[in-house]
Amino acid sequence: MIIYGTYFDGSSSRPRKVRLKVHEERVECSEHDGKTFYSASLSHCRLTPSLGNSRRFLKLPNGGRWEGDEHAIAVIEKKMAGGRGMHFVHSLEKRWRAALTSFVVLGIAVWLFVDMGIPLMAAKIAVAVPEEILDKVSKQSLTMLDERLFKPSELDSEERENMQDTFTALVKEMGLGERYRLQLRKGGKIGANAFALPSGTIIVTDELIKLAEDDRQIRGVLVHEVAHVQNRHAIRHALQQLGVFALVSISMGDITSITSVATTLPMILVESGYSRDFEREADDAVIRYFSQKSWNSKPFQEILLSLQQASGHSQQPSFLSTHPGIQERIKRLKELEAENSSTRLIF
Amino acid sequence: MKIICPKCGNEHNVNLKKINYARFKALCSSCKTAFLVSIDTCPACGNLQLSGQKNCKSCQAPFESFEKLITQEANKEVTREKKNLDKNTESADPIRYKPEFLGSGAEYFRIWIVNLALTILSLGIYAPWAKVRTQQYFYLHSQVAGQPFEYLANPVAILKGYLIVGACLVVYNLTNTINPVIGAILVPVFMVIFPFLMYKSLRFKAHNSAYRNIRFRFLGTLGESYITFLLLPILTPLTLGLALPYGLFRQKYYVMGNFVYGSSKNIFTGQIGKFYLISLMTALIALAAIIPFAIPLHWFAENILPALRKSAQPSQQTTMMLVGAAVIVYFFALFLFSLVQQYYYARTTNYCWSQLNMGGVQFQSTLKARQLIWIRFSNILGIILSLGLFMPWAKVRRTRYLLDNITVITPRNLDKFIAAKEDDESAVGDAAMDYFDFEIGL
Repeated sequence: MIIYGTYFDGSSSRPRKVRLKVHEERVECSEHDGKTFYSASLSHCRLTPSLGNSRRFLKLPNGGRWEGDEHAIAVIEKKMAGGRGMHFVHSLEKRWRAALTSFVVLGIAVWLFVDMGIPLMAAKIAVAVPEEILDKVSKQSLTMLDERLFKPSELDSEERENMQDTFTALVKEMGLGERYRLQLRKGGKIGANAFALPSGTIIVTDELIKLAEDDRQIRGVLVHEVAHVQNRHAIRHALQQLGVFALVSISMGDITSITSVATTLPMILVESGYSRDFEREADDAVIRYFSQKSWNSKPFQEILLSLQQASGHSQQPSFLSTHPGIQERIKRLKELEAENSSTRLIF
Repeated sequence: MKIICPKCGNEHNVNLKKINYARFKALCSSCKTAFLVSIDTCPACGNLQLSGQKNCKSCQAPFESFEKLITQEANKEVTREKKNLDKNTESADPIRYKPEFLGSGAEYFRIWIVNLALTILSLGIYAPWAKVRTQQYFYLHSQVAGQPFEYLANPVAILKGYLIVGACLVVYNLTNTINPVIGAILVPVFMVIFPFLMYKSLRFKAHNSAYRNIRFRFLGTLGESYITFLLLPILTPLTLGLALPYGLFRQKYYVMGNFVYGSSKNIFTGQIGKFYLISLMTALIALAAIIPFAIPLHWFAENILPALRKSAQPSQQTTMMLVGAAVIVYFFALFLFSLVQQYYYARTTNYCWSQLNMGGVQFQSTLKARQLIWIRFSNILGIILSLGLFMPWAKVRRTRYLLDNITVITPRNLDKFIAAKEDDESAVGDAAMDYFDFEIGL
C-alpha cells in the first residue's frame, strides 16, 4: 500500500513530499525518486492520538514526522495494533450526548465533594492530628492575638473569680478534661466576642462579660465555644478550605489560575457555607446542654441579640456571612427546642 | 487502466502496478504528444488509479486527488521563490504569512468538559493528560503557512510538576490558615523559589513546543530570571513604583529575547523608554476611568451608608439595595481591571512583536485595545453568567483574535530553519528533564 504525505525530518523546517509504503509490519519512506531512504518497524512508530478534527502525524523512530490526509492516516491506524492511547476519550469528545453526560456527572461529583466528601475527609484527618500540634499552634496564635488585638483584662478580681468559677463548674458538669482553660482579655477593637483555640483555651472579652445579664447567657456562649473545640472545628475548617482549593485548582487545570476572578467568588461561598455549618453544630450543642438542664434556650437567644446590637453591624445576607444571621440562628434554636420538648413529652 | 491522450483522444492501456512513480510523463503512441499523468492510491482499498477521480474505481470510496494538491502547492511555492529570485534577493518583497486559528468553540467545549469530568472522577490524577489534550487542541489548530504547531509535553512529567507545586501550596495553605505568622514567613521562601519555577517553566514550554517538527528552545539563564522576577519586584516598592515599567520590560525581554526556534538567534530591540510611555498612558487612562465612578461612590459611602448602618433592623429592601450596590461595584472594578490590563497588554504586545527578529523572521501585531477590552470583559461576564460553561468559547475567541492580528514577515519562505544540534547541552540536555508548565500571562 502506498500513501503520500508531507514529511519533516526533525532537523530542517523544509517540508518534503514523501511516499510511504506500508507493509504488514514495516513502513518504507521514499521521495519521488523512488529510493527508500528510511524504513522502520510499525511497532516503533507512533500515531498521534485523534483530537477533534485536528491533523494527525506518524512519528517515526528517527525523529521524522509524516503527515497524510485522514484517509492515509486511517490506513496506518488499521495496521497499527489496537486502538492506542486516547481512543476512548476521543470517542467521548466527539458526541454532544457524552458532553452533556460529563456536565451532569461533573455537577453531581462536585456537589458530592463539596457537600460530603471534603467535610468527611477533613473530619477523618482532623481526628488524627496529635494534641501536641494543636497546643503549639494555639500557643502561637494566642501570643499573636495578644500582640495585635487584645489588651489585658480590666475586670476586677471578683468578677474574674466569678467567671473562672462558672467555667470550672461547666467543665465539671460537661465532664471535660483538663485541657479546657479560660482566658480573659479586653477585646478593644473587636469588642464583645469569644474565641476558642484548638488546644481548649477559650478567650472571652471583658465587653462580652459586661454585656451578659446572667450566668446562663455566659454559659451558652461558653458551651458554644467548647463545642468548637470538641469537634475540632478550627482544624477541620482549615482542611476543608484546602479541599476546596484543591478541587478548584484541579478543575481549572492549572494551579496558578486560582487567582482568577471567576473562581474566588464560588470559593468564598462554599467556605462561608462550611463555617456556618460549624456554627450550627456549636449552637446544637448549646441546645443540648440547656435542655439537659431543663432550661429554656431564651438566655442564649438574648445574648445573641445583644451581641448583634453591640456590634452595630447591619445585617448581611446570610449566604455571604461566616455566621448564620442572628435571626436565622434564633429561629433555628426555637425550632430545635420545640423538637426536643416534644420528644421529652413522649418519653 | 485506461489513459486518454488529452490531444488526440486515443485510449492507451497502462499497467499501473508496474509504475513506481506517483507522477510520470506519458508519450502518446499515436500523436507523439507528451503529457503528465498522476496516480493516486485509494486510501480505502489501496488500489492505484489515475488522479482526478471523485470516487475510487474499485471500491467507490470518495477521495480527493492528493497528488494534485501537492503539485499545486509545490507550483505555487516555486513561482513565489522565482518571483523573489528574479528581483534582487536583498530588496525582494518579504513573504507575509497570516497565522490562522481553525479551532471551534463547540468542539473545544466537548473536549474540555469530557476531560474535566475525567479529571474530577480520577481525583485529579488525569489532570496532566487533560492539560496536554486541551493544550494540544490549541497548538494543532494554530497554523502558520499551512503548518500547525505541536505540543509535545509528556503528561507524566507534568504530573510530577503538579505534585511538587501542589505539595508546596498545601503546606502554605495549611500553615496560613492555622497560623498566619508562619504563613507570612513562608511568603519570602516562595518568592525565592518563584524565579526558579519561572525559568523551569519557560524551558519546559519552549522545549515542548514545535513547528514543522522542530522544537523551540528557551535560552534564558537562571541568573537573569532571578534579576527579572526577584530583584526588580523587590526594587519596585523601594523606588515608589518607578522601577515597575522597567521590571515589566525586563520580563518581556527575558521571555521574547530568549524564546528561539531551532537554532535561530533572536534579536530583541525593544527600548525601555517606550515601556515608560505606555505605563504613563495606562496610568492616565485608569485615572480617567476611575474618577467618574469614584465620585458617586464616595457620595454613597458618605451619605447613604451611615444612615443604613444606624437603622438597627435593616429591612429586606435595604439589604437588597446594598447587595445590588456591591454587585455594581464588583462589575465596575472588573471592567476597570480588564480595561487597564488589556490596554497595557495590547500596547506592549504590539510593540514587542515589532521589535523581535527570530532568525530573520519578523512580526507585526495589530491588536486593538478596545477590541481586547471588549473580549475580556464580555468573556468574564459570559463565564459568570453561564457558571463557567462559556469558558471554552471565551478561550477560543480570544486566541482567534490574538492570532488574527499577528503577521509573520519573512524574507524567504520558512524552510531554512535548522534544529539545534543534539549535543548542544543547553538545548536539549536537561531541558528534557524539566516538568513545570504554567500559564504565564506575559
